[in-house]
Amino acid sequence: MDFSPTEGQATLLASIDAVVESRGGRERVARVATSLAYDGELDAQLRSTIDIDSLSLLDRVLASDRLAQAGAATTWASRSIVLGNGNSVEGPLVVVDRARSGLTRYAPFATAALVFDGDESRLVQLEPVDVEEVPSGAGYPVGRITDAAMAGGQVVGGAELRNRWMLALATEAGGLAAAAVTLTSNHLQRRKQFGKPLAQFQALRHRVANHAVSAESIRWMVRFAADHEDERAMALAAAYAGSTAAELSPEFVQLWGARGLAHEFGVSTYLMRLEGIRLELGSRDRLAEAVLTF
Amino acid sequence: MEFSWSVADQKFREELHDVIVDAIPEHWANLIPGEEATSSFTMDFSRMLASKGLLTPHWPVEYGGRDASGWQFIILGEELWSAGEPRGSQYMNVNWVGPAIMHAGTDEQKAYHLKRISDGDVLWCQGFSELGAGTDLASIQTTAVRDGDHYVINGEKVWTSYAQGAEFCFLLARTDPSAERGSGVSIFLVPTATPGFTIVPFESDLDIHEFNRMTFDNVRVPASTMLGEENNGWKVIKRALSHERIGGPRYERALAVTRRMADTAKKRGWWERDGLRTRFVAAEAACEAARVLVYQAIDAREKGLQENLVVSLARVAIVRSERLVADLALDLFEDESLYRFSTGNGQFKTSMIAGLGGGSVEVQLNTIARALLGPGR
Ligand SMILES: Cc1cc2nc3c(=O)[nH]c(=O)nc-3n(C[C@H](O)[C@H](O)[C@H](O)COP(=O)(O)OP(=O)(O)OC[C@H]3O[C@@H](n4cnc5c(N)ncnc54)[C@H](O)[C@@H]3O)c2cc1C
Repeated sequence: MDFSPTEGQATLLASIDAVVESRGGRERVARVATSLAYDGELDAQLRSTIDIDSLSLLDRVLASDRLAQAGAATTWASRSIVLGNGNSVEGPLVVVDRARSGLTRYAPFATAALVFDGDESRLVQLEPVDVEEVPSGAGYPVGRITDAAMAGGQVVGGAELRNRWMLALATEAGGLAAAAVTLTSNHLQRRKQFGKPLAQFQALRHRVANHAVSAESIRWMVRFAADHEDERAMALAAAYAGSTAAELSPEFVQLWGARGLAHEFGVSTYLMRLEGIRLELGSRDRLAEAVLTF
Repeated sequence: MEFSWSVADQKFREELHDVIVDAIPEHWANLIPGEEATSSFTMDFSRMLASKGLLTPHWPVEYGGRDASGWQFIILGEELWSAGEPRGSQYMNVNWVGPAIMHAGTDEQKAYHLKRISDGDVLWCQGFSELGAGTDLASIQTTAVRDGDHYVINGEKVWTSYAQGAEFCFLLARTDPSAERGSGVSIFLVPTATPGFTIVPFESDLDIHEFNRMTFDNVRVPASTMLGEENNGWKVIKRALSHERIGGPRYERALAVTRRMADTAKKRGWWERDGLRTRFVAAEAACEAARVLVYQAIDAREKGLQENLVVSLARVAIVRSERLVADLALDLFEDESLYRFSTGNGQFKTSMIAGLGGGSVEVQLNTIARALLGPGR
């Protein structure tokens, strides 16, 4: 057991930070995010700088967590968690369950969709007619993959890819939650009301502390699951992440006050994205069922 | 103790309900209050209600009411809020702008403003919050300096809802810079068209409820626009906030959403989903809990009793009901709520607004805690 990153993992995270920096840093990344676009530039740069196929599942999880914390609008790491090697897609990959609505994050920019259809997983190359863009309510660009498109594609695997997808979403939730905890802690120490920093009000301190426990729980649960490649543990981490994201998104808005909703304070994207991830993961009962299938 | 409606109040609810059913297009059922706040439909609707005597029935006849019971205030709120709030932003006029003017206004202010409000003919916005003064409203820094028979206003207000279409701003400004906190604050009824007054929307994730930044650059207003006495605005504000807090009977709309969702769940074969029925019942119970606590607050108001504690209890229960219904909606509809105009997304956004708009819910919790546990420091 060793909870510290290996040298290779530390290098990986440093390379990701360097790529983000080289593409205009967090400021540009945040601009892309609030404009509800896809960061194709960042995606391409990550692809050309880091050989993701050589990374373990755990390393991919670490990479995705880092990008979620940076607020990046890319599926570079998460799609490699879902698809593994050999099926790599270049642009954003979206994932849909044929039994659900077809609404998914990043669809307006997607070049491919992974479709779950019962126990089958199919990869569909998307044409513009296959996607209908819809107004987004959750921090990501959103679109609907048509039923006709969801019916097609090549079989690339079975039900195990669903667990990978849940792992990928839980990873993003962990990164977003961790970033939200940090941003909120910093904000509450700076923001003064009643002549003192909000951080001094006990009523808020315990809430932030509890959310830190939740965020860290998600992050270590996904790392364990990824390292062991344990499918039940992936589903369990997803169940935890889903209910935590559901709780944290409105909670952090409340802790930030109106600033939690306005773009210029740099936090709203994280809070809305937590909601977006929660919606894509699905309901608590769905996530529980997934665990109980094992 | 008894808990039934008077015949007159019940008749009023039925009359109002019929008018609403006739007047409101179907898509309103899915709108959240504030989503269509200043449209010509909301203006026409408010004027129509006014023409039937249904906009301010609980006001005295001299101010455009019918002298009806104070309970009609909450009946109005319940029926209209749950229909998507077709009065648009004019619900604020009836809930707290009008009552504040009635309470503290000069004869001229009453004659002019209460007539406009009870005619359903005017839009207001609330200029209270500043970047530095949110929860701690008493620390506002916007100033109004006397200059002959005028005041000159400078400063900035933020998060202002409905400012874009508003004709008047109910503004809080500091008239005595040396005074501590709430003392030294005055209220001005400022026409938004006054030179130097600018309104710019915030970019936000709220998408269904715009809020704005208002700046005041040497805005000159006649002294006659002051409401109440100079430096004594805080008392008026406290009363207005108390009215605002339970003015939007959010539980009634949350309950209507819950009922519609239950129908959908049954139709789509979701009723047996694990834990769902329990949550539907919990959501309904939370809405009903909010309702009885709001009624308790109205009762206290009607009797002229101290209403601080009961209003706070009611407000917290209202926020809880909104949040529970939102969480249920998001679990029920899952990815469908990624769509901005979905039931789940609307309920999610309105539940977040509930915890902050009109003052944050922690302030209410502090009030309750203070009443039960003493000052705490
Ligand atoms: C949708 C929306 C519409 C609005 N419309 C208007 C409007 O029309 N006009 C207007 O004037 N304002 C409006 N507001 C502003 C609203 O009144 C403020 O957001 C609210 O008062 C909180 O202030 P803040 O956002 O600055 O949060 P902050 O004051 O920064 O507070 C952040 C968090 O800390 C908590 N907190 C602060 N102090 C304490 C304490 N002592 N104990 C425990 N917790 C504490 C707060 O409750 C909150 O959860 C609106 C806000 C929203 C979200």
